[in-house]
Amino acid sequence: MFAACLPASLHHSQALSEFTHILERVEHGDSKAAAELLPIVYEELRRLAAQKMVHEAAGHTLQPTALVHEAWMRLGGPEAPVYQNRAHFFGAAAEAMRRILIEHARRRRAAKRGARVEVVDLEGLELSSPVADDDQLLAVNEALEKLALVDERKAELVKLRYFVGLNFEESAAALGIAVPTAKQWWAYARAWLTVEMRSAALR
Amino acid sequence: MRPDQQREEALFEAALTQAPARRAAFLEGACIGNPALRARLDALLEAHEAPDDLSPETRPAAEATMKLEFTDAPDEAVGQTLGRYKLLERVGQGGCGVVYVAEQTEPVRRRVAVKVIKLGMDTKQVVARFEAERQALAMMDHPNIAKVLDAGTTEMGRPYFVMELVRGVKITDYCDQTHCTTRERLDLFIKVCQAIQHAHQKGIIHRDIKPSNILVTLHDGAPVPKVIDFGIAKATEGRLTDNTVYTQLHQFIGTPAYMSPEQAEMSGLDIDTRSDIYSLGVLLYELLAGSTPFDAKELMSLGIDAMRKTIREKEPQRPSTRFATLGADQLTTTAKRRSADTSKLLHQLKGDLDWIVMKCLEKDRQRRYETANGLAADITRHLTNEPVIARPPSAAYKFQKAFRRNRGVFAAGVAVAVALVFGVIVSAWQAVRATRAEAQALVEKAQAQKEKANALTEKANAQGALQFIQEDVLNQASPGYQPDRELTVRALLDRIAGRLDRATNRPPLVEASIRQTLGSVYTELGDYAKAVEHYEAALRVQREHLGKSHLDTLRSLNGLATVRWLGGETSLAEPLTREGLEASQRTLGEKHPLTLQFMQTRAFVVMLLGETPWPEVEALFIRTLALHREVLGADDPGTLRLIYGFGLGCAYHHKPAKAEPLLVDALERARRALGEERPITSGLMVVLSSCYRHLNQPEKAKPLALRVLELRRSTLGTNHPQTISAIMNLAAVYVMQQRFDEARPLVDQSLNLIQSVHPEKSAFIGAHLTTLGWGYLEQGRLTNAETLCELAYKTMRLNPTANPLVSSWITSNLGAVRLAQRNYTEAEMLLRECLSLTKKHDADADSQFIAMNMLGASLAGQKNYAEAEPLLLQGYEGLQQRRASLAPYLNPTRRIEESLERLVQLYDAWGKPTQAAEWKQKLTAFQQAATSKNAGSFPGVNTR
Repeated sequence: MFAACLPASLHHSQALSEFTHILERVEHGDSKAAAELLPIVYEELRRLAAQKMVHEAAGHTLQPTALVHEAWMRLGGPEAPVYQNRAHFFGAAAEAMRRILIEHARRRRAAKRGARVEVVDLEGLELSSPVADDDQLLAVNEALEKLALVDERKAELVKLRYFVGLNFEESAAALGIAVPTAKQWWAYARAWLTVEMRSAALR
Repeated sequence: MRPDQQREEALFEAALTQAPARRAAFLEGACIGNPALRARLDALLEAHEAPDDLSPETRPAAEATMKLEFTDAPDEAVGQTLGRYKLLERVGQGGCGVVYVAEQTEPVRRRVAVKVIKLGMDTKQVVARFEAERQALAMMDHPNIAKVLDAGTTEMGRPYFVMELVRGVKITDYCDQTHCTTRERLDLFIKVCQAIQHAHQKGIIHRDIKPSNILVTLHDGAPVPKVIDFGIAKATEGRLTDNTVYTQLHQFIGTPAYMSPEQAEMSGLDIDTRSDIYSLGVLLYELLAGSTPFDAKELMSLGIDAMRKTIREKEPQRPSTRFATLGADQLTTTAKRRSADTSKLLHQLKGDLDWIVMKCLEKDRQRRYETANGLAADITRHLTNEPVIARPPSAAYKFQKAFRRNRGVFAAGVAVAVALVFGVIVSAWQAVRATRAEAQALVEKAQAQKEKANALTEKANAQGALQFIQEDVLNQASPGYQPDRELTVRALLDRIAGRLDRATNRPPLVEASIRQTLGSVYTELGDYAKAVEHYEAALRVQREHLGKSHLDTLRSLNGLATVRWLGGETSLAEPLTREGLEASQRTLGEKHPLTLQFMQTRAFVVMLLGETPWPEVEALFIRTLALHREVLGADDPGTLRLIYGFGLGCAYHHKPAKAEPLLVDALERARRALGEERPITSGLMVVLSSCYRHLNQPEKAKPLALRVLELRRSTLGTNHPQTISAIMNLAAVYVMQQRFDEARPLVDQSLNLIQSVHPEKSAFIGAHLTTLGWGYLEQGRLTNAETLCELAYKTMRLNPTANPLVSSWITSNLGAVRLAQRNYTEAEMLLRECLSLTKKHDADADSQFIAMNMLGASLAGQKNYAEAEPLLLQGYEGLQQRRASLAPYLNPTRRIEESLERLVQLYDAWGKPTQAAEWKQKLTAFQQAATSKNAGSFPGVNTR
């Protein structure tokens, strides 16, 4: 059933086998492997986002969570049921999602400021920001980079929740922590970021 | 992670586990010698309380779409070919179908939208509806309507149809994202009207107009709206299919926020083009004011019957009013999205646009615009500064509306007048046909009747007029619109009262009736002294001419009793309620509404006097409530007012948990059945809000407190005693949340206002003052606490019978202040007074152990150890036993800890080291138990 929804081109594609291979290495404790995952996920998300634009055309907003889940289904899929893999994938996806969104926010903002309005994007389609307005997105991102310096794990959590829109259960599973811990971390991280953004706004 | 970061995080988490009231003290202790850390934690905690726009959970729209995507199994249809269309991607689903983007290869290569009936939903009913849609769409051809191109059936036998693919965003999102001005929004909206007009001319009603069905695309840089998804369209004329398309009862089609009253009826047979006009009105409302007339979520939460009732019966606020009552943040955002500032936008909405929208939203569809073009034309008139067709309702129309709302009262008065006048006419007509002598007699009789009629009509008129003032002018005075209205009413009343005093030839009973009405209006206005004056004058006349047991006499009597207790003269009210209740039960019967009113007034008075043990008072309320529900129903204002009284009693007895569910239910009923502007609704809001405060839930108390203050300021004015109560209530919420900067102006304002109204002439102000004082005391703000507790005590002393029930609480709080100031002698005096008051008014009060303990402490402070010891011990044991039933805002854990500390101090000072050590051990054990209980859900965090 599921196979039917995979574009035929992907079935035996190099990307997929590469992906599986990387996941295996992740599983065997190869720390560099996780980083290699990112470009693949990134490409897949960009491709999906471009396709999904029609989504928006029908009056629905592009949902990052949906994108990430779909990317997972296509790349990882049911053949890769190992939990760790999924968790790593989500980490990579969150990072990729963050980059895509930031990239677009910056471009839109530049377009707004610039003399000429340029709405060229991905495959010529404008990606609407799904989370908030661009200013907030960029401010959060800036604060998040600082948080990552002092507390990387909480920054991961923020990426999953803010940029992908995962709920507590999903993000806790992706990080391999308990749900109450995720809530506790989130409360602190959110307050931390808010304080940081406020002082950044004053600077 | 750095160690100082770790420490900061641990303290942050620990502080969150503390009750808000305790946080300041906790941080104080934890950050000794480290002001930077303290400042940092304050900032973090403040940020924690700030609105959350980072969590995905607080972005409900995103969540909803996400779930939709999530729960659906992977779609097997993608990649398949339907006739000439290859499905590429699923893009969404509506009520009855799934929409795909598909590629058409011949005769032209293009992308289209294909809508296929949803898996698992292919019932006959859906197919019938689909058939209707397919044909209906084919009949239309308009640039602002998504064209239907083709239709067919899948191999599985499901019908599909092919539509023009629209790449666009929801009209509301488009307008907000691009910060469209009001003018631009109106231009866009006019195009939508024209599209709908086209469909209507083809005999098609959309029936589901809402933002997500109107997408905006850019053509050469210009926005073009496209109406999509005529999914439940139905022809007004002729049959489209063999199967009659109908909507089954109880199956809601469409979105409730946009649904017309006749759609909400769900008769399914009586929908015409004017339903679409209504939905267009809702859309225009949202485009202009930023929200729909009825909140969609609120509607959904009401349950189906209440939802239908709201849509059918509740008059929506005007867009400008709705906009003006948004919260400050929303106000600015909404204005910003329209590239305007708040006052400019308000100015734009008021007048024409208000009336145009309201004309669309008329419950009676005959009063709406006839056609979508008519609506568009009126907007164009507005834009070109021509007079619009939609106008503010005339006085006569308003009167009719008032009549509709107060049907019972008005009908009675008007019916009497009509009957009498009619009688006169009939008599006169008969006179013509009768002999001269007979005629003469009849004319005389008619003359007499006419005089009687005049007198009674005058009464009916006076009552009607005043009722009108009371119900409409007072309560309907809309926020942000003519705020001086209350003054005008008052001036008018004073003039009427003045005229009454001068004129002499008026029948005494008519005058009495007017005075009775004046009494009730002055009560509403919070001028209790004037109300008493008029009620007493009315009562004198009515007793003399009608007797003690006449309905009118009893009405005035109940009014007088009510205003007596409201004005702080509870002891004078008591005999009145006794007399009235007896007379009413005897002459009118147990279940007469007036008897019930007396029972209610009596319950209030008995509760406030505090001379009857609380369990008995509680039983009295429950009994009376059962009778009210039986006779008047659960939604009746009388029934709701009784629950309000019960809530008050529970609050004064520190038993908030008991009242909460009743109050929540009552408030919901009041909002639904009566609307927010009614005094009883706001009364319930205040009591529920204070109830949440007593439960240590300021986050729940705050929205209610804010709203009620807003309502009372706009309907009652700032000087009204009830508005002052609302101000103090909000201040207490802020104090509890340690938002002292926000509390302060409110406290200052209420203290200023109090001076003009005599705080002792109110049943409530003393209680509010002392509650606020207690709040400050708990936060360690002794100076503020002293001012308030002292003022409360003075107020109570000036008029001890206003609300004896709270007198022990008032005394106890001032005692606590004195104790904290180490003024032991005065503390002792006050706490002894408190305990004797408690014995009198609430012998079983949980809070007496707090007072007892404090008394012990003030004796120990005076080195009177022998007398202090038993009090401290008894206080400690009492607190331990009552720990579970003590109201959370009394902070039982802290109280017990305090009592243990006091025992340790006592034995230390007394020179009894063994006992001191023993109690020290108990104290430590208690603190550890309390800490681990607090930290239970967050293992590994040290809270101290």
